[in-house]
Order: sequence, then structure tokens, then C-alpha cells
Amino acid sequence: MTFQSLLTLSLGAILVENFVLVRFLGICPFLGVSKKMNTALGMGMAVIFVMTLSSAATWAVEHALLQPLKLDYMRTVVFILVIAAFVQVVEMALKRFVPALYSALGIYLPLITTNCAVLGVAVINSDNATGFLESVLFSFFAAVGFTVAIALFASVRERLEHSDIPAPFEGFPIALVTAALISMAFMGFSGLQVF
Amino acid sequence: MKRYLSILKDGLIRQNPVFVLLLGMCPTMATSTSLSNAIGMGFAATLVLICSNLFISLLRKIIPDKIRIASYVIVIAGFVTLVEMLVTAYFPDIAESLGVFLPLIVVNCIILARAEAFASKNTPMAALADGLSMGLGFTLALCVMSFIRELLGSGALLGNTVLPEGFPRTLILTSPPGGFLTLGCVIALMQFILRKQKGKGAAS
Amino acid sequence: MSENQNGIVSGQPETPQMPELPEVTELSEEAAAAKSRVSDEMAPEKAASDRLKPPDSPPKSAVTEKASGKSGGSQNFIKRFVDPERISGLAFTLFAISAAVALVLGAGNALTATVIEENRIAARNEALSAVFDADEFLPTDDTEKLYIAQKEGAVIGYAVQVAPTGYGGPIEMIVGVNPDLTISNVSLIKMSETPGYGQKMQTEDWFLGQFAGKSLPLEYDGEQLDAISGATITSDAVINGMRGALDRVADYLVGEGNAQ
Repeated sequence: MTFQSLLTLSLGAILVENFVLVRFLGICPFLGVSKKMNTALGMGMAVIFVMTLSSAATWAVEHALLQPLKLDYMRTVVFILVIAAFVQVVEMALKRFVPALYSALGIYLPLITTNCAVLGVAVINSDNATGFLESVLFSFFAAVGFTVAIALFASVRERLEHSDIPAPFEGFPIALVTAALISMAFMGFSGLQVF
Repeated sequence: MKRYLSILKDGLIRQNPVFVLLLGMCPTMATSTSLSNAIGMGFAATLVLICSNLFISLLRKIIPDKIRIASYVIVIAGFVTLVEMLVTAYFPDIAESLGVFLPLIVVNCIILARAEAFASKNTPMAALADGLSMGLGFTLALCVMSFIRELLGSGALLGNTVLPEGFPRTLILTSPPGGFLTLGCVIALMQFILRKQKGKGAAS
Repeated sequence: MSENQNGIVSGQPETPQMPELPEVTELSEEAAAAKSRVSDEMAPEKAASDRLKPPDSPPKSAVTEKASGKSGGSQNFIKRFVDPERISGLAFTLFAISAAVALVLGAGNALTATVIEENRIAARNEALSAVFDADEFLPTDDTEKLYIAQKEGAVIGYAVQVAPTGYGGPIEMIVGVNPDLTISNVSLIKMSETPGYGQKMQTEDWFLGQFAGKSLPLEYDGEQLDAISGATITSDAVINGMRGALDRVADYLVGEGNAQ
């Protein structure tokens, strides 16, 4: 994989086709954990870890187990089980080694299991039938894109806390409108070509 | 019977999973670009919701508490795969337009949330009614969103041009920011209506 | 938002309520025995579990007879294995549920696989016919990617199936290549692009039609070839698919030339 294609892949996954703002994958944690910058970043780190490793695992399981046994239709079930197991491992590791982050993330950590982005990237890699390295790198950069988006969003929301907002828009609706504006900004990246 | 009717009504408006419970937003914004996508997605998700609610309710006494989430996920994933197979075989156009969001029904927060909050604690018939009502509420939400987005965004409904040629198309609505924007505004509208109702109820 | 999230998943591993019996129908005998070994707190649970035991059903009594016929040691082992208090019991239940799901999916797959395959072949054949008015399409190898279009015994062109990665998934197309390595025609099998943007490749004929007669190098230069505005990813995917198709045919012809 050349540096050029790596750059294209990374910028594509982070900016042009940002998983949250363009592909709509990972909205629940995006809207749920983005009220404070440090929890947002913590969630982003956890997602990077889970997405990268679980996509490595799901690729391996698909090519070593499902395809040889012609069990392709079990893809969804097996993938979600692998992801659930990984999240459990991450949860236990965080509880042991970084308890502050564990308690800050609270309920949102087990929710990474139901994060559309994690299963989504595994399914996208499977559909595109890319090789191992490319799949894992794509997932890594997609997760980085998620972290970039959630960090940007958190920085805006922290300020929104102190703003005067019409009553019906308080809470979720204004967050969604903000996300719309950031997503619009990201639309400017479409057609981005490095070389 | 009255109980089932009230469950049904709840899911549609008062406890609408998307606009009130704020669940299942990923697929709502992603598949509401056109009315046909919305109906297809709503139909598939409702099917999964009904089946998973029914079976989880039937199995609720057997599944140990410690592994209940994992068990629910397995059952839900099983039904999603089944629905995926059926839709790909008999409705290939819908499967094509839903793309990656068809298998992603398995992580639709609505299904897991209803399994945990309702199906595991109620009788199969009630769970079935709840699944149906939540599914219909989800479909309703999708249709409302896609009606706005497709009509104002591409001037069409179900692929047929509705708006006259001269009428400007707000293309941004069919693109990702439009999804966020439409959902935000509709939820705000719901909040506005609900508050007014509450205000009227308190006054009377 | 937070109260909803709390309703979905309870992150707390410890719950005040003790787990209930797994596998009630077959193993209630062993499981009930296992339960009675545990502390007196379980007394109300035992009453509940007795209530849950189904009325005499033949499979259960058959298992019970078999179990009582075994030696005490192996009976204890089974009891301990499926005890829901222990990891093995939980794992067993999960495994049983997964196995049941896998069986159902296997049945579903058996039912639908043929239909899905037939649909796929029909769609591909339709796309092939749309590209060349040929009598037959000969596959060149097992990959189903490159076909020789023949009419009345003569080769009139080559049809390549490409699936470049678009915005919402792979864009499957059949690209018709003339023997002089120009594109003859393109037909779309399936795509999941955004309505109003990438989906225009399906609704507006000019986009795919503009590739007719073109050959390498292919570029969107605004004069010869135009991308769909606002659908860069889709447009790029399509042009990459075209280039791939032309390369594929060129390689094939070189290979044929070498063989002869």
C-alpha cells in the first residue's frame, strides 16, 4: 500500500466520507456523549480501539471461518457477537486500568456494542471485500473521523449550554441543528483530492 | 383489548420511538432520503421488532439475567438476518436501496430498548402489540421525515415529480445535513405541541 | 436522553434479582437439584422454579430416567455444568440460543438462497443483453467477470462486470468494450447511491451514456466527460470502474495474443 493510497484512504474516511456526519453511522453516542469535551474524547478513544480491533477480528472470522464453511449468511450474527465480546473486554480493561474513564463513560461504554459505526464498518469492509490491511486501516481512520466529529461537536455543545435557546429546541433539537451545520461544513470536503 | 389499543396508540404518537423516545436516529436520518426507502426500512424494522419482541417475551423466563443482553442481541441478529434474506430474495429493489442499513437494523436502538424495557417484562401478546406499535411509530417517523426531504429536496414523491419545474428544490435536504436539520426541526415541533398539550391539560 | 440510555442497557453487573432457570423443559430435574444446594435465600426462587416446571412431558421424564440411571459422579458434573450460577451454565445457555438461531438461519438460507441466486443471474443477464445485442455471452473463466459477446459466431465485443466502491456500497455495472478497446455501452445492475446526487447516474441517461466511444485515458475534463456535480464519490467510482474494465479487456487480449 503506497503512501499516496494510504493518504487517500485516511482523508476519505476522516473527512470526505466522515462516518458520523456524512454516513450517519454512530449517531447515538455522537449525540449522547458529546456534552463535555473530555468524555467525548474518551468515547472517541474507546471507539477507535474497539473499531480497529473488532474489524480485524471480524475480517479474520469471515475469511477463516464463514467463507470456507459457506456460512456467509451468519455474518450479521457472528459479527455482532465478536463486537459484543470485544466491548466486554474493553470494559473490563478500562475498569481495571483507567477507572476514572470507566466511570465517566458510564452507560455509554456497553453501548458501543450497539453503535452502528462499529458493526457498520465491519459490514462495509465485508461488502467491499477489501484485504486485511486495507480493512483495518479503513476502520481505524473511520474511527478517527468519528473522534474528530465528536470532539468538534462537543466543543460547540459546551458553549451551547450557556446560550439562550427557544424552549422547543432545547436539548436534542438544537444539537441536531448544530450537527447539520457541522455536516454542511464537512460537505466542503467532497471532491478533495490530495494528488 | 383496551390495553392493546392503548399500547398501539402510544407507539404511534405519545411514545413515538424516534421523536419522543429519541431512539433509532441513525437509520431514520440515513434512510429518509426518499419515501420508498422509508417505507421499505420501516417495514423491515417493524417485522424484526414484532418477531424479536414476541420471542424474547416467550423466552423471558428462560434467559438468565446475567446474559440477557447478549441473548437478546443474538435473537435480534437472527431475525434481522432472516428479514435480510427475505427482503433480498423477494424485494430486491428495496434491499438495494437500503444498502448497508438493512443489516444495521440489528443495532437499531429501538429494538434492543424495547426488548429490555418491555418484552422481557410482559406477556407475549402485549409484547407483540408493543412491537407492532413501536414499529409503526418508527415507520411513521420515517415517512414524515422522508416526505419533507424528498418533496422539498428533489421535488418528487416515490420517484414521481410532484413539484412544478419552476419551484426551487432545496437539495441540501436530501443530503446529510438535511437529515440532521429535518429531524431537529421535527423534534422541536413535537416538543412544542407536547408542551402546549401539557399546558392545556394543566390549565383545565 | 440519559434516562433512555439507562433503560436500554444496565451496565451494572450485579443485579439484586437472581437468575432464573435455564432449559426448563429438559433439565429442570438437575437444575432444581442444583438450586436446592444454594443458600436459603433461594427458597422463594425454588417455589417459583417449581411453579415453572411444566406438567409431565414425555421428553423430560425420559431424560430424568436416563439421569437417575447414571452414576452419581457424572450426574453431579452435568448439574454443575449447566448451573446458571456458574460461567459454564451461562455459556451453555448462550450456546443453546446461538445454536437455535443458527439452525433457523440455516433453514432460512436454504429457502431463500436459490431465489437470491436466480435474481442475481437474471439481473446480470439482463444487463449483458443491454450492452451488446449478442447471441451468446461466453465466460472466459470462473470469475464471472469477463464475457466474450458473440453474434453469429463472430466476436463483437467484450462485457466486463465491475463493482467499484461507491458512496453507499459497490456499484455493479456491466461495461461493454469493443474489440478496438473503446467503450460501447454501460448498463447498471445495482447501486445504492444517494437520491438527488449519486442516484442521478441511474435516473439521468447522459452520465453513463457519455462513456460510449471513449477509451483510455479517461478523465473528467468537463469537455469530453462530465462528473455529476455534488456526487464526486459516485462519479469517481464509475470512472474507475470504466478504467478497470478497459484494462481488463486489454490484459485479456494481450494474454490471448501471447497464447497464439
